[in-house]
Amino acid sequence: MCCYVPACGRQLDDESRSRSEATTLPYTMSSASPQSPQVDQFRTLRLGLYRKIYVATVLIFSISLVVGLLSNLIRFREIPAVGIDLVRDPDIYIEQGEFSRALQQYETEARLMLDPSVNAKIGNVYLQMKDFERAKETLEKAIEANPNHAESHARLAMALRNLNQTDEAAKSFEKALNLKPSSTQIRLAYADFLESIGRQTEALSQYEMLVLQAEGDEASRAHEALGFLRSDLNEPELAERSFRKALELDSKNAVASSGLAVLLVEQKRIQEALEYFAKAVELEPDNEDSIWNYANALRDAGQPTDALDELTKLRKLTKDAALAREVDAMIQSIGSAAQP
Amino acid sequence: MKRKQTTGATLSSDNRSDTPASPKTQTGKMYVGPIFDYMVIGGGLSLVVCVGIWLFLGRGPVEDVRYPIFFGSMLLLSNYAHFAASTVRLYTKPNAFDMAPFLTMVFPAITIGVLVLGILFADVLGYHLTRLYSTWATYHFAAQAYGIAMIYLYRSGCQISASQKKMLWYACMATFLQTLIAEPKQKLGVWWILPTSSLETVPAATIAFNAAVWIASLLAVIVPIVVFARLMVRDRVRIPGIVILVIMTNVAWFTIFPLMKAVALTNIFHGIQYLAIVTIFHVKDQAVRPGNRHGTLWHASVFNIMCIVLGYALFRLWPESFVIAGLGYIESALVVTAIVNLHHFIVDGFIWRLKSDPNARIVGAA
Repeated sequence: MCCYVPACGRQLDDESRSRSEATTLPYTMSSASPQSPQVDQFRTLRLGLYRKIYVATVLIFSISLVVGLLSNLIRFREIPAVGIDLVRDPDIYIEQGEFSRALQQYETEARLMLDPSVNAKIGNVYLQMKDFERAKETLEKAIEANPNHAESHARLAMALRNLNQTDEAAKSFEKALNLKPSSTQIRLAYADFLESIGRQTEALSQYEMLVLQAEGDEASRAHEALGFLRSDLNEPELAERSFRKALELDSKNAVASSGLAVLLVEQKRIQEALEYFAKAVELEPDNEDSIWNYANALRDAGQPTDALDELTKLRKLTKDAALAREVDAMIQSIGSAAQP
Repeated sequence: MKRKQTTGATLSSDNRSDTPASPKTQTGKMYVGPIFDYMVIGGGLSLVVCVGIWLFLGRGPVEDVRYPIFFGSMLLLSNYAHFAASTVRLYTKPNAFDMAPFLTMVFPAITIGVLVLGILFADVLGYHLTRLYSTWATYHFAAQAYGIAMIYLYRSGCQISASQKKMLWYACMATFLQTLIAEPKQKLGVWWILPTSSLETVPAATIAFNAAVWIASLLAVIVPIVVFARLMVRDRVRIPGIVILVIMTNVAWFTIFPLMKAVALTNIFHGIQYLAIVTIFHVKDQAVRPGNRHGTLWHASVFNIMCIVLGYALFRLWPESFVIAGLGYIESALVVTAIVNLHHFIVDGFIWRLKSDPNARIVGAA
């Protein structure tokens, strides 16, 4: 029988029982009865040992707390945050590229907690590892456990897309969006998928919905994607408007800047294009495509020296042998054209 | 002989009464005041907050991911702090080292030993520690409701017999019975031992299981209502309103809250309830200590700050230290959670006892 109040109020029974027993039982043992010196000595020794154990425990516990804090500060440069989840998300290992560690941690969580929803996270790790077959298997388990988890449907769709099961992928994307129509990430992935399989009209309508839903940087990316699609659909005016809107929402969107520049080149508006190429290269100095396009535009604009500067920069940067050969060829052609 | 049956009268002479209870006992004798006691200790606030969030913030899952900062902060301030509170109370309770030398000085070392073994052998020992604490936790909730109900019954001078107390015990434990059978997928309660494979493969077993869970959920609601009706109507016991509220709130936590996806709120308000009552006991103990120079607010604040700091350290810093030793973070965090829960449940056995303990004075005191 337990004997305490908030965890179990029965102690009150014991209290009353002890009082009543005290009046009825004449042979009750008294705690104050005299004890032999050996018993006292044993008690003293025992308490001395207890104290040593206690001091050692407090010391170990305190050191482990300090170590825990320092470890977190060193590894993640932050004090452990308090969140609604019982454990910190091992997604942090994904960000550090330690996929197998993230996987092992999620699998441990699933084994200890027997929580099938963890499969949604394990499936995501497989997706990041590009193990699409395992991602599919795990995400199907996650959906079986929780059929209303939109993210699991969306991740399954991405796995299926990479396994070239496009019909199933489309169905999974649709389920995900039905469950969470407000998710801009899922809609963006769906629109991108539709575009990739040539269902451009449907992709267009998804992007158009997306630009209405999304905010801030995400809205900028949505306009940028819409710009590329309209460009492919040969709607240059609408495409230009989308790219400009993307830049208006996020002036540091290098992809939109580069996309707009390419569009302007196609319209023979080279001087305008140069401005946006320069901006794209400034924002993303390591983007080889942007530098290559910029160099081409500079050459076409009759600025061979600047074009050579960009090409030299690209030659140093690139590790792509094919691109390197193209760069060398263009450097040579500009050089020979410049000779009298 | 009569006193033996009416146990409440034995606690304190100022509560002893053989006359019919005064109208005051209908609301009960409060510790702080009716609003605080009913809303915080009684758990009324949890019902208001849950319904409020559900009504005004979209009627979706109450613990929506849109409010992670709110729920995260509340978990720290109440849930984590309440786990730490039992330890803080243990070491600040007068004469605790003399009264419970093994618990105060040796048990922590044993706990750490089991924790390390649990992390090292997470798949075996860690798994069972997790099942043990998760199963025990629902009993702990029910027992806390019963314990607080008893405190207010005795404080309010309400006289009930041993058999009537047993009925209230069953009323509280009905929720435990429900959770004992309702979680086969996570192998909690009876499913920790019993095989679950037939539940999915044998249709008759599935039907029987669903029926059993449904009946148990119904009983969790009906048993307390029947018990209260019997005590109040047939036995004419004037049960304080706060006793009814405490027990029915616990019923709501295990029946309505999961349906509204508000399990986090259950944990938060269980913690708030616990912190409130343990703070009251701590403050009353400190107030009568020789040489005390501080007031209620000081003792309450210091106690709660210690609980919050220790709670954070236990749940968020401690698991990190095992990672340095090369152990996995997840198993460390999960086994630390299991061990902290189990330590909390065991320490509760000492800090809330009344026999030869100053707690008895506080239950009866104004």
